[in-house]
Amino acid sequence: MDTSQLLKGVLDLAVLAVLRDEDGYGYDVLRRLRGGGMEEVGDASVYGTLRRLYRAGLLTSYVVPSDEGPHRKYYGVNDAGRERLVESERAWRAFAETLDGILTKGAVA
Amino acid sequence: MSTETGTRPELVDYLARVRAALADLPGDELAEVMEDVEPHVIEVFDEAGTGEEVVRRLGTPEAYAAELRAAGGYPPPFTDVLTPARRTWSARYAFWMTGFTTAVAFVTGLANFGGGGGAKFAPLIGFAILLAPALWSIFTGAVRRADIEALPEYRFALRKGRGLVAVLPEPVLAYFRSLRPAWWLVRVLLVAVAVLAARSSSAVPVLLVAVLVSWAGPRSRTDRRFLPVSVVANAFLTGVVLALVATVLFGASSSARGDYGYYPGPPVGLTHDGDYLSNVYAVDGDGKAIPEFYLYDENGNPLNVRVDTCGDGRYREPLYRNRFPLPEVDYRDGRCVESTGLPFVPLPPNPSGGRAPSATSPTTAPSITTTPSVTATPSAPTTAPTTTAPTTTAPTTTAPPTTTG
Repeated sequence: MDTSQLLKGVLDLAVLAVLRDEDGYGYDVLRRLRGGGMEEVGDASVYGTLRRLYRAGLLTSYVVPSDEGPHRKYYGVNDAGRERLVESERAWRAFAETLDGILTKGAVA
Repeated sequence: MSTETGTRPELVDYLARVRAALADLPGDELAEVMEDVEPHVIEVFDEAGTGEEVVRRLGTPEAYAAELRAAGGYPPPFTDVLTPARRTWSARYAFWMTGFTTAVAFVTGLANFGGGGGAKFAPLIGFAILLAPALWSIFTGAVRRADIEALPEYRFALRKGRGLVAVLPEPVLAYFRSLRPAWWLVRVLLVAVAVLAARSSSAVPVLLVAVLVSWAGPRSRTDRRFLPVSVVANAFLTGVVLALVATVLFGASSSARGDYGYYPGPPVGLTHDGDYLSNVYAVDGDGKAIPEFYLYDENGNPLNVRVDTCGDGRYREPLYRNRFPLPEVDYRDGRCVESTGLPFVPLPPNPSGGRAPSATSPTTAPSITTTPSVTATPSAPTTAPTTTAPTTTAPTTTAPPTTTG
């Protein structure tokens, strides 16, 4: 099944989550999401999401020069981003629980 | 990075197309986006190897850009500001206005160094004002390049233009292409000519347009939105250049007709040893200027020469007379001033030797001495025994062909 529509809504949360413990550049974020099982997330979607979260003031960014290849722009979660992450996580868990209930009931009925 | 991207045309092309698809984003934001995207696409190219594999993983550059735009919360591309029909008409307006303004700019350029004052710029300014809304619609993206290129008349003009170019043999084309870098040199020369001409009504437009070309030209190479400005400004300068070339090539014939001017063709006015004299002054034995005197040749004919006067701004028939010195017409503080005073201090003439005052400078010894009386007949060189001028010592005075006095 095509889960890309489902992914879209939770990508913000997922990106903030994979950056919570360690800063990363675009491809890092992509790898962490894929490594976490989000196989179908689009590359460009991740980059767009990073820019949107940055513009919303939830991420910081800094450039690290690289010996091989182009320099890399790293993103990290700032305080506002952490606050948002906590809120979103709570909302997500509540939502998932609700949906889980509906699905379970539907399955029973 | 440049070394990495430079060696792979597919990669360069992919990034360029992503950038083009996001070109409507503000410049700073686009730069930030590309700072993320470039390393990513490079890395994917490294892993994938072939362009097809990259497209399979990332999608086409346009799809990639669209996905990024959607996820990034950027506004959709602003191509839909106008309906297609209105876009076509706006494009048509821009195309024709650019064409008309280019033609008017060319003609105005031709007339730039001619007479007529500032009024000759009125049509060009009018068309520039009419062109302004079209430029605005192009710069804001309401009308895109594709809209203009889709116009039937644009395609027609392009076909005709290419047809004309195709007629020329390749070496000629190559030669013209090789001249392209020299165009900036021509502009520099034009500015110099304009400054030397020192007539503000001619110099200022050339200066402004030369600056405009230097500004818009390089930009139009990377950003086609600057093209109309560049084309119009270049048309003006081309007109100016052609007019100047024509003046140099054919100006001789017009001055020989005796309109004005004194150089090529048979000398008109006063000459001395073949050199044109713009004026003649006379002093008496005490070195005092003779304020007014009349010249005649050996047969008693008046040596009439054309007289420049301030006039009253209206055109009148040229004035010819033999009263000297001729008034020197000068412009001071924007007003025309006539003067007949000596523009030099004569050396005191030596009464015994009969030496004449220097005609050039009071500080240097007279290198060419003439007798005080310019009416001396050519057949009587004995009146100037001390002259040091070579060969023909007596001054020759030539009356203009038309003697109206």
